[in-house]
Amino acid sequence: MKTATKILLAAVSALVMLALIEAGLRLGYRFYADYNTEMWRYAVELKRLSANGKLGHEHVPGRAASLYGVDIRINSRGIRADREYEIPKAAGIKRILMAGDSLTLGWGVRHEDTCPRILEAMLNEKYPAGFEVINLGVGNYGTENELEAIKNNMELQPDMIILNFYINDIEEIRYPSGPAYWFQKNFYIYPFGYDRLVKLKNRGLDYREYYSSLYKDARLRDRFEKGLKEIADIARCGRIPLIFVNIPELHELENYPFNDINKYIEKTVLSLPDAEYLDLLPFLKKNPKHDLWVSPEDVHLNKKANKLVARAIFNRISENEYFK
Amino acid sequence: MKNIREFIKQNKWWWLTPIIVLSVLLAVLLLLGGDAAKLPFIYAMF
Repeated sequence: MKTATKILLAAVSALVMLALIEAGLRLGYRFYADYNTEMWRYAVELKRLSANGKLGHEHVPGRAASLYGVDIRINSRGIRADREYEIPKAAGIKRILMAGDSLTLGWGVRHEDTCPRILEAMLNEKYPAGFEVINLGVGNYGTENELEAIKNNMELQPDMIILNFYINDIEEIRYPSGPAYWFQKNFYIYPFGYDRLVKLKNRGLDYREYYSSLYKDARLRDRFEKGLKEIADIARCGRIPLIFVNIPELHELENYPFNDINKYIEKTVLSLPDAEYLDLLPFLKKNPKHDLWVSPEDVHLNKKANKLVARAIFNRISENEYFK
Repeated sequence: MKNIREFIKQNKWWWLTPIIVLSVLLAVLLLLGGDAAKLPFIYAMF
């Protein structure tokens, strides 16, 4: 038998086996919502690469999906919302843009349990003016993406900008392209293999080393500082207050391992004129950490944590009397 | 059909090997993944 025929036989056998594994994964994930695969599904079903290279990626307008047990609906502006926002806004309405990543988006929590919705309800209870807190959160956004998201939504005429910062917002995202992207988007084998290989490769690594290493990179710090300054400039030019909210990493709150990073973040924010800095660590550390997680494998903010964050922001807004 | 059966029987290692290799790889990936709770946010896609 010719060697070429034997090789063809081996190739067909491998393809059949891979097809069976793919089928098994698709069937298995119908019954078990693994966090990493659900995050991949979020990217595949609700996100796309943006034509704006600086924005990087964005929500697909008008899409909806059930992810990690929760429905997420995206409006025509690419915002997680169950409504549209008028332009120009109605008379008397106060708008707040809340920018951030998947924590702001409200990954793992229902729409009404997200920080923007809870904050909106608190403000509408206290003040006579109608408030709309607009959720610009998109999973895996960093400061540079959030800057572009804010720029793209200034036509909503905000009266305040809240920038929710999380420790990995300084990270640089590498975007896929070409045939590799097609494969990554269409096969469950990809997130399964990627997730397992990352875990295998990083068996000795934990979140402390990884996040700390990001802040040792001068290039990443420089990009973060420039992005932050530009956001502050936008707020100042529009004469609208900016609140920078530092959401702590939730693995270990009591003996927080990132105090040095927090000092750097605080110093950077306070070097900007008119920027307000709100550190949420003191508010959240009173709670046992697992009380705040979406699940044992997922350290996103759960319903309780979103409420605590919204309450802290609301208190700061009230104390500073931004709105009367 | 008889010829095909003979062909497959005589060249079994050519089609069994990919199945064995992929099965072992699958088992390694399933069993040796790290503790998800200690890892940072690292996503398969943006």
